[in-house]
Amino acid sequence: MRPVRILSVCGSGTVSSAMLTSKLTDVLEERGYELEAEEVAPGGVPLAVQNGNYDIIAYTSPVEDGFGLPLLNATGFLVGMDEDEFVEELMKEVSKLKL
Amino acid sequence: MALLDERLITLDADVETAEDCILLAAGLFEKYGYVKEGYGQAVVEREEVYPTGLPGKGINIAIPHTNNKLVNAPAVGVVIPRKPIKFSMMGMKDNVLDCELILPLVVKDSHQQIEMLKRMMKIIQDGEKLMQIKNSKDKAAIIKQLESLEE
Repeated sequence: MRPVRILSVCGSGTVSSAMLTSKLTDVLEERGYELEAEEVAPGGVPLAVQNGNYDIIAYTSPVEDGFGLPLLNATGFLVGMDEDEFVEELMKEVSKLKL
Repeated sequence: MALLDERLITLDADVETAEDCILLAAGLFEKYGYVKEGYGQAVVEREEVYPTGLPGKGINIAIPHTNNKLVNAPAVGVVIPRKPIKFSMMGMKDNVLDCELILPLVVKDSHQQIEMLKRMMKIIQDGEKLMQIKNSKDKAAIIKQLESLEE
């Protein structure tokens, strides 16, 4: 099985997205999946999507164009609010993937 | 240089706006050599476009930061404002949050600092700890609350 590929987006492309990636790793590992992620700022999304073959975009700073990929708002997830809803949405998208 | 330093903590801060908070913290970061001149302005500009207010359990906080361009060494500051300060919410700019605790982050290398950021994430999910920090009257007690970040 290949890893789930998530593009993790925040304003600086470093701080919140790095926190997000580590939290996503934990959630996916608990459910038996592996995560491959990259962190970018919103401006870096088009290039990353072109080159990266991502399955899902998770963001804490709005992404204008997801290029057809599922876009998940992860701000609540990051601070531990609406965590269940986010995970449910995430797993719904993961279950659609051919891994 | 220590990540946590009592000199980077301001209790009962006389501030009115998010910009005041950011510039206050950045002034201390600069004074003690953590960042270069211009860092504060860079954070202010970034905060306008990519806000960092976070809704917490029982308390809203903000974690203003920017990229590492003007950073010498990582740090975590603390600003406890005299009254709640309006920060827009991360990822939902139109939501404005009254924030009672500001934790400005100076990040040098997010991959090297990932353990610190993970621990920070645990802290920002811990409403009780955030309230304790907010209600602290002494800087040593705040350092104690945050010391897991330094491990």
